[in-house]
Amino acid sequence: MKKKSIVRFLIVSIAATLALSSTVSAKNLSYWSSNCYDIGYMNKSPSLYYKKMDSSSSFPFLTAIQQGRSQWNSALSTSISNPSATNTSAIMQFYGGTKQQIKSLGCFVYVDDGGAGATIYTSENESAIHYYGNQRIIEHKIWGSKSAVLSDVGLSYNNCIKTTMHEMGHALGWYGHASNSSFVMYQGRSSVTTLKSGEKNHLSQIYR
Amino acid sequence: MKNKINLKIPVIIIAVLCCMTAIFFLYEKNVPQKLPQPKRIVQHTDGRELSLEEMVDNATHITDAEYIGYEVDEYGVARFKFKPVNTIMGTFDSDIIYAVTGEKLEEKCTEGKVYMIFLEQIDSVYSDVQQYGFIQPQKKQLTAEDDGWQKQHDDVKAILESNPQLYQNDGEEKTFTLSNDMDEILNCSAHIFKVRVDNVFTESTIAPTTVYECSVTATLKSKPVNDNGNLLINMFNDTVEVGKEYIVLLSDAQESAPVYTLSSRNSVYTPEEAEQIPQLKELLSNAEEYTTVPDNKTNEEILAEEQAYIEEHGIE
Ligand SMILES: [Zn+2]
Repeated sequence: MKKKSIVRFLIVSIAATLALSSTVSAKNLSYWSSNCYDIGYMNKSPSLYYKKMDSSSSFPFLTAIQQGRSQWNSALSTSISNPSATNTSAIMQFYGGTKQQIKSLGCFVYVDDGGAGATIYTSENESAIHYYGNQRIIEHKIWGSKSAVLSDVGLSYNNCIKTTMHEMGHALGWYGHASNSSFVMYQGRSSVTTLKSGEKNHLSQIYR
Repeated sequence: MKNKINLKIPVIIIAVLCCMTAIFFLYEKNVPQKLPQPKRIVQHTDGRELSLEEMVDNATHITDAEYIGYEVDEYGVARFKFKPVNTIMGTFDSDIIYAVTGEKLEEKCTEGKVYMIFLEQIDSVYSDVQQYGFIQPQKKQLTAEDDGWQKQHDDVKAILESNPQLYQNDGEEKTFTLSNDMDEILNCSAHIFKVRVDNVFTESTIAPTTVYECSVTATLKSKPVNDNGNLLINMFNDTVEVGKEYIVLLSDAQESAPVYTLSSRNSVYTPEEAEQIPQLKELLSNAEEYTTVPDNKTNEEILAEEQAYIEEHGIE
């Protein structure tokens, strides 16, 4: 083998690697349950920071976080870390408190009196294009998120569990909402506290 | 010589394969140098639909207004611009108003059309622009061409007339001042404490602010609302250092465990700076020492409390 052919081999292999890297992530998706055509993903072991600002024991915020964590972990084969009250650089951050407390944090865009929860991506970028049939789906890589669950807006125990699991779904990359009211990712207030296969499949196809 | 070359080739191939694998994984993971900031903040907001009466209760302003487009601020938050043409409740100081919501309102509203909108005035010492929160952006926004237009106006009018005093919007008294005058600032400061900044609690990505966990070391005016002395205070970025002490002038905190906000844009001083300001110097000379009781509960303790509550009260 001559020097020239080694160089040629090098160039071809690097070019092939780059080309392969950019196309390998495009997927044909088999499920779609959202009313919008975006979807996201975090790394498979996201760190979780939480602050229960309204400390009343009638607000089951940590119970809800643990339930959400356990169900989403098994749905997506992820390992969301144990909630830490000190890791302020965690990729997934959850704040539970009164409307006034959440408002004063200055981290969320306006929430009206109907609001029970909210999630924003503090860091994300578009990372790939997928297809569901002919529909173009934009994939986002999520590098940071903040979620809020409100404690003083008349949520029942199960409403609070549902809202927390729902926000965790958004944080993990569930964009938009499901139209099926038996899904946790349905937008309206509900007492559903078990993830259904349709909503799990929707997100897990990106986490494969 | 030939033997040497034969040895070199497999080594080069292995090296190239290693490089390829490394490039492949780096590309796949898309690891950026600096975490990317979203071009536009889209907030997933969840909750229930409000009735018309609840929307009126929530609102400080109700108006028919022409939608004239939106702009995105430096943090990626969209501000939707409206021109009020027929104001039903409240008064506006300017011809163009800025409404904020994390929803993509531009998909609901068409430029040039007039909508009946419900707004809540947002007063914040941390913002340069007068903003209004957009109530119920997820609903269909009514224009004059819609069937329900006149009925919604009549219904709102009836609600407002049912309790004129309740809905009389005199503009809530601001709990902060934009003035730099120390007497004016002191007037707006319901609480003045000497605090030690202990930790970052959360950094905002939509405003130039950070919330810190602080411990009160002395009180200059009033006592902390939460009597253990652990405070959360929202401050402008890069104005304090963790571990150091400051004199902070705070707005009235109206609930039991508040996130305290500043009473002005000049409400944080080092003890040395405070000594130079006559009013603060006098307050400092009468300050009372304060001992903060740490309240660090473990996850297990918090979970046990929540479980105990459920066992006692059941799941409603
Ligand atoms: Zn949602």
